[in-house]
Amino acid sequence: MHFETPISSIHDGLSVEGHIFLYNTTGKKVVNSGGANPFTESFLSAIQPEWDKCLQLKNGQAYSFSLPQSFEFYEYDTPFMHARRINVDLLLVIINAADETAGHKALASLLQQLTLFYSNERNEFFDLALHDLQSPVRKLSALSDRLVHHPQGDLSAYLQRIQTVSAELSALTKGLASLYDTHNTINSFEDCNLNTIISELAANELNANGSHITLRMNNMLPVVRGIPGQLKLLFINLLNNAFKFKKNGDNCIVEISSDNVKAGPEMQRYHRVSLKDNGIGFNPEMQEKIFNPFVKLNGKSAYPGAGLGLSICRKIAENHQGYITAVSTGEDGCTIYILLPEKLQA
Amino acid sequence: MKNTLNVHPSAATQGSKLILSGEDDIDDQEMLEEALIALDEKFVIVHIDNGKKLLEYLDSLPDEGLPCLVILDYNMPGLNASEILKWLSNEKRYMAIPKVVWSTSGSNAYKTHCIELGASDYLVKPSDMKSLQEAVRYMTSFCNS
Repeated sequence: MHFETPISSIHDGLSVEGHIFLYNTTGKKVVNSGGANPFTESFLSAIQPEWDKCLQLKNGQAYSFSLPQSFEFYEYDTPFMHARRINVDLLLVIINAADETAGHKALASLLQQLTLFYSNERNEFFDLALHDLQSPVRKLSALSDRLVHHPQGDLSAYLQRIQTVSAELSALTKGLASLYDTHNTINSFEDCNLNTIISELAANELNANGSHITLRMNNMLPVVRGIPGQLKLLFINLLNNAFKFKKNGDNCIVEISSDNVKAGPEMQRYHRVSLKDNGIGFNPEMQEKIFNPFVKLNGKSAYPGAGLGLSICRKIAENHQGYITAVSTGEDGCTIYILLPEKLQA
Repeated sequence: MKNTLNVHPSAATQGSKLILSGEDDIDDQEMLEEALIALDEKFVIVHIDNGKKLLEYLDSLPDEGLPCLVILDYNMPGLNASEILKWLSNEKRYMAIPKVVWSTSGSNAYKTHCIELGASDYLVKPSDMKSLQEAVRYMTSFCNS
């Protein structure tokens, strides 16, 4: 069965992979006949009888039914917000044979909502990117207009401001370029020793920026399969953030440690690397938002920046089939947790 | 924040009119101030660089010391302009204060949204001094309405 899907356009864009199940009824039967992938008890009990057609959409194409290797289960009306954090590009739909028309209607409406969600997300991205690009351009033009029409006053102060705004603009375009790069990954995974990556960073990039950061390595970090350039960028961004958001007058201290945890829908095994800083932390209410592009929790002038660093970090974690989260009480610094799978899935 | 214009709210009760500005960009704060200084009428302007702090500041003012105008940058940390407007339009004490949003973004959707939420107008931040002067003259006209 061919199915025209409006979500086919999603995949050329910005970071959004869907993972939603429309399910019901004879799913249980289908599942059982699938054999190789037994669903969990809770999944089975959640499925009600009567459905008998399944459709898998991958990369916007309809495939005949096959069960996913691993998945997380969502009810149809779970807000799609939750879906975006799941890095599985899969939509599984089970349609009720007893009422096929209604099933297809439900599917159409789900796809419509998905499309809307993704296009909203995209519009929001372009909206914010546009705003943040327009703002320095407007300032450059206002400042130079002032110099042209009122050349009196402290010229060097104005030129300095023009320089600052240009730097802001340049940081933003650099950030966008590196976010774009992480979306166009050629998967060249190799063994990466995180100890080496971090000590090289400490010796080179961080020193070159004049950021004095004290790193406390609590234990040896693992060797992971990864894309070296991206893992390096991940730690550069995180350590630069730690320095940028340090408390006034304090030295920036980051404690780095690692352990192994089970997480995710399949309770897969992950290396967990944590970076605990002693900075200003963030309001816990903002925990969900801080990895979104262009989000700035602090005043633009007090903490200049493009607001892209953490969204790049999230994309890098996702490229490695991993996760990134941040925890803060709002005062005593924050801890970033990076989860990277012990074994990458094919 | 510049000290010349950023004075304690009690100054507002001594005759000059208070304008409260929600703006986290120092350059924009200064440009706003320069344009205000050039006006015949004198205003006291207080800048707050965070939406939440702006509401706290308003709450701390006595009834007779409330601003004659609130100017909001759309994108502010803490709370953005539409969230602030939502809050202000539900509070009896603040309903009557004219609120003008100004932003880099000229999006019609934002404009409509802000006006629905009680903004008197929504302006795009100008990129030359002359338009800025006009914009500020226009905004302060709400102070006398």
